[in-house]
Amino acid sequence: MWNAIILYPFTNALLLLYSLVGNSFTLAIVIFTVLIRVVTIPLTVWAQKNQQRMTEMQPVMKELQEKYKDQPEKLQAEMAKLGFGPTTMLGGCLPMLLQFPIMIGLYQSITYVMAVSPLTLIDLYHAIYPIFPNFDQLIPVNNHFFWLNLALPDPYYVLPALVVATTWLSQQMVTPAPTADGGGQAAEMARSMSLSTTVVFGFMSLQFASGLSIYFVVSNIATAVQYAWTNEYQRKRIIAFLKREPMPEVKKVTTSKGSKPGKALKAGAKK
Amino acid sequence: MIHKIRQGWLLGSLFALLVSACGAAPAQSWPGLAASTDTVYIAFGANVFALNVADGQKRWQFPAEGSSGEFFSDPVLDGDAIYVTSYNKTAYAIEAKTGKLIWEFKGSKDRLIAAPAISGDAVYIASADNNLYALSKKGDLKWTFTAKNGLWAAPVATDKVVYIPSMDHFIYAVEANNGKTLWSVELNGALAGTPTLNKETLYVGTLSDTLYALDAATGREKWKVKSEGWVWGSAVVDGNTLYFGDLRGSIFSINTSEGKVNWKQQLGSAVRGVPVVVGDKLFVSAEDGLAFALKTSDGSTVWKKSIDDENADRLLGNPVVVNDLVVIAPIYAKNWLYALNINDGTTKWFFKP
Repeated sequence: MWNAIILYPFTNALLLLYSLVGNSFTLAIVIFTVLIRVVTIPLTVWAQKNQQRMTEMQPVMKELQEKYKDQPEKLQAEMAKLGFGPTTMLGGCLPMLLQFPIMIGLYQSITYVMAVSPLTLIDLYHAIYPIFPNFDQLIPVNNHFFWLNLALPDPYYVLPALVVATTWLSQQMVTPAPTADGGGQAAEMARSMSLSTTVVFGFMSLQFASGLSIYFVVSNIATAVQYAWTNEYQRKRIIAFLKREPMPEVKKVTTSKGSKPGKALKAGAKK
Repeated sequence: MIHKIRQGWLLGSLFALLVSACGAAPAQSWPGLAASTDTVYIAFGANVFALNVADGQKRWQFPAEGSSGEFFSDPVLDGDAIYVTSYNKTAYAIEAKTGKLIWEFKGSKDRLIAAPAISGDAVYIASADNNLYALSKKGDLKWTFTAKNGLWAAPVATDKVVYIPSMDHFIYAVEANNGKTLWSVELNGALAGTPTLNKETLYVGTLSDTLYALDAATGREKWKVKSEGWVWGSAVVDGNTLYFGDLRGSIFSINTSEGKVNWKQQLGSAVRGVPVVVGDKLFVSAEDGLAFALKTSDGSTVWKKSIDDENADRLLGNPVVVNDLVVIAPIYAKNWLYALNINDGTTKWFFKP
């Protein structure tokens, strides 16, 4: 099922792209990654909005959780009034869940097409559709790009450095804008997750084939650009950073007693 | 707060590992096999094992403790030594009786995917770094030949000429003394299998659904046969008949004088391994975990054996026949190696380290 729906179509498309761009696997990886990112923009924007909304509503939700900590049913009802019923919460995760297999498939298809070992070459053979034009002539895939053998780790550590830098950048963009109170525990968690992802990806790029590091770099840059394009707050942050101006302020969500959480939600959701 | 930070680290690491691990293959190739009259050798993953042919009991393993590399190619037995290559860019000469290291060669810049080849006093090591390294039997480098792309298959060597198949679509004939090119021929696809030399003819399969018969002296094409899939495994010649399999699951019997197909049999999944002829039977394995004994006369099935293990697919290595056993080594089975009775395919013993 996975192979038929995701992996094989991706692999065929990537190899076709490779043949169309003059047998440059690096260029094929770059274009294919960007194309996939463009196609999944609606999902990303959807996920981004949900994430931002959840972050903004953290103080209000915390307030409700404290208020109704002994009345779970009442809490659920109040949350539902705010638009955070169980179905909505699940729906919020859906864009991320849909993106995940696409990312895995993209990564796997690059591994397939590189075919750096006998077993992966046989896997590639099984994955390619019989109608694929001139498949035999494309083997072996050209694995060289400047000083790199795409099947091996970068001996000069340039790509691992780029992976670390771009992962950090993309994680900064993906991390939702902080709430007026700094985001508290959620913000801390997001920061530590961002740091750990950067460290782990950096470590992996030291061990893995550099073709995969190229994918990580392109994917990270695409994520950063995509978030900068679609998220007003992140765009302002970049402009401020480039102009060396103070970081933009975040709208304060009303959480004080007596205010109506529902109104606060709507105010936050409109941003 | 500390709990949330830990949770963040855990989630981040998990995310990164998931993205990468889902694409990683657990093995890079299939097990390599070789046998003498009393010992079976298997090279797979971290070790090379020597097993008693009679019962599969382990005699030794190399290295004796820990791991020296990633072994996948067929070991080659020559005199008192076995020679084996590793994906850690190293070739080893090991005492056949004890498993002790004699010497190692670390001159390659990339993985050693192909098995070594031996001829006279030379050991030939083909590397994915495009080079063929000619060593003496003491492990000293004599000369190097460079192709345009990686060498995934062992060369075939005589005292005078070494024939080198390459992934660059060429087959090269070089002088055994100094590595100078005698001739080279471009074929229609990459060459991942070792050529077969019989009398004056070189038989070589390509990853473009073709098996060629070339004049060994000049490289001139004598005839070619179109298969249904990639021809990865070597062909085997018995008298005037040649047998080979392809990755679409067909096995072919060919008349060597004209290249005409005697018969063709479909086995259902990829035939990567080299067939073995014993008397009037042809032993061959197929990727989905089946071992076959076929009649050489018409390809009809004498027996077929499915490994008694639902995970025993990916039977891609070369089967080995020794005494009254057919030895096969699937990749993902419970056991690493199965010794089957040559007469009916029943399992005599199996090996798991």
